[in-house]
Amino acid sequence: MILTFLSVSFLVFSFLDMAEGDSSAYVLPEDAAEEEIAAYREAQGLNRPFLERYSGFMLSFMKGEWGISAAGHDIKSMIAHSVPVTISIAFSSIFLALLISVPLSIAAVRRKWIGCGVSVLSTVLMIMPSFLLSMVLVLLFSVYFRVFPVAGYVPLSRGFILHVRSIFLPSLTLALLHSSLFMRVFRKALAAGAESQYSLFALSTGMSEKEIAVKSALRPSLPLLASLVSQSLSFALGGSAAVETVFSLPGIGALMVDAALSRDAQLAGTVMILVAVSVAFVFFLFEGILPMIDPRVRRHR
Amino acid sequence: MKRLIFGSLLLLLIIIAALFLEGDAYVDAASRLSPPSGDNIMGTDAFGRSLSAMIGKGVLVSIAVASAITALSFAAGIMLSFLFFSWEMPNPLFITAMLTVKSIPPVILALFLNALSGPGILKLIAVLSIGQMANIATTAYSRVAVLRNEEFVLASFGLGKSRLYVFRKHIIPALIPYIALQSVSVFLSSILSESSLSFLGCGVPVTTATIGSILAEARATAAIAPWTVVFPAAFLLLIGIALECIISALSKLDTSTH
Repeated sequence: MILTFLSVSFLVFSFLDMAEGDSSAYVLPEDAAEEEIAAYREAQGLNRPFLERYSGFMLSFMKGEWGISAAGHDIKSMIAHSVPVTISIAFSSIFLALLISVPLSIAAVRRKWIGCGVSVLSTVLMIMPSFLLSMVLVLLFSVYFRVFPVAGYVPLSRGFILHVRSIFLPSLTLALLHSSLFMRVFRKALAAGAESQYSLFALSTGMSEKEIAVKSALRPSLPLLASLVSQSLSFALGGSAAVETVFSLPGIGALMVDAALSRDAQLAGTVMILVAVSVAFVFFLFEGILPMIDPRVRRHR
Repeated sequence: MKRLIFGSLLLLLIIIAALFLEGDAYVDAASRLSPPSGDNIMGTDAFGRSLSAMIGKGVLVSIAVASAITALSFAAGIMLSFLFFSWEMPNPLFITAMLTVKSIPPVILALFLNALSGPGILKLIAVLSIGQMANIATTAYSRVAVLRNEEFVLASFGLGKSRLYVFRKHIIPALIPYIALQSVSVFLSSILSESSLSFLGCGVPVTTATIGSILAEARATAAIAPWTVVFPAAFLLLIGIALECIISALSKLDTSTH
């Protein structure tokens, strides 16, 4: 995680450094004398070596001084406003995805015709880009049925129901995309578990098929599911850009798109470092959880 | 096998249709948002431009971009395999490096570069190829690790063959099924990411029509002129179906995943 932080911040800083060239070209008048430029560069610390400036950048980043966006707002408060939005979508989408995919996968293993339906569904969702799916859902639920609002965000502090209503469709979009992957992988693992010898043994001891599906087939597939969830969380953190834009939610993804469209490199760089670090943190967390749910890993250590 | 043929034929058909439809789209204020008819078989958009001409061009641009990304990733896959073949990278080091690469979502990286210096096709191709690198490197690493200790490889070394010779003669043929499968997946995900980024206005520059940018413009007119959404979306989904068929056929051929 620390390595990720170092390498990503290094990447961002060197890009910023290269692209900005030298801010003396923007700040000083065009006919500035050589001495004036030199004095300015000295005052801004631009003459110091690259690594020294990089460590300065890192220090101020760690202290939480992230600077000011091109539009003149404080980057820290902008990010603080958008993080809760993205987090609440990310978690509710994972929750919904599990709610959709786990029962469907279990049903698919037990009944052939459900299995066929599930594979068609997950294939369709697999090839659907997130922005297209969200447009379809908006047309369906907001324009024709008028159940959910078209766009906009209501914070949790203004009431739970209103909050859920405002994030339901974006979460559903991401949840459907996650669940296509979940179902595909999880189903295979379940089927392998159900066909295995220990399931056969369980059957011979008189366990019902339902019990076997839950006890002896589900349990070995759990670590796989957990790794999928950790990957999906990172996807939700990064890939929510399109969904947040369609639903005009003020989240991290939308902030990043705004930064990209307004050429705000400082803001975009800061967001990118934070996203990378949080994704790395999720992976790190997963590594910690894995031995708890998977005895096979424990034994190897 | 049937799926492979079906998928390839469908993809070919889409490209031919796109070549046939492709043309210059002109702004025509008189025929804004006209439904599909003999003149414009897919109707017109909010500026009166012929949708079929724009979609044709968009499909070709998307496929060209995705092909470039696939070619780059393919080359990178071969080169990384050779690297891993000649230098046994320690496993913990490899895993850490992959986690670092994986923790930057490609879309975010693309948006960051956009913020730095604006959109551009070459930049898009480069960024999305980098985004695929983690998967490709993982496949190459795990495959080469297995192959390195296979008897036929060891035997070839024992005969005094050079590293490059063994790689060309024994490793590449054994890698081809995996790389082929991966290339098609890369193609599909490039098409999806490219259209998402273009939809956001941060992919292919706005002056070039792509499926993503057509859909972005169609967002405003979706309810009153459904054809502005339906046709580009249908093309995107058809490309997806074709590629998905090829992927599932290729993964059936690949016996190691079962």
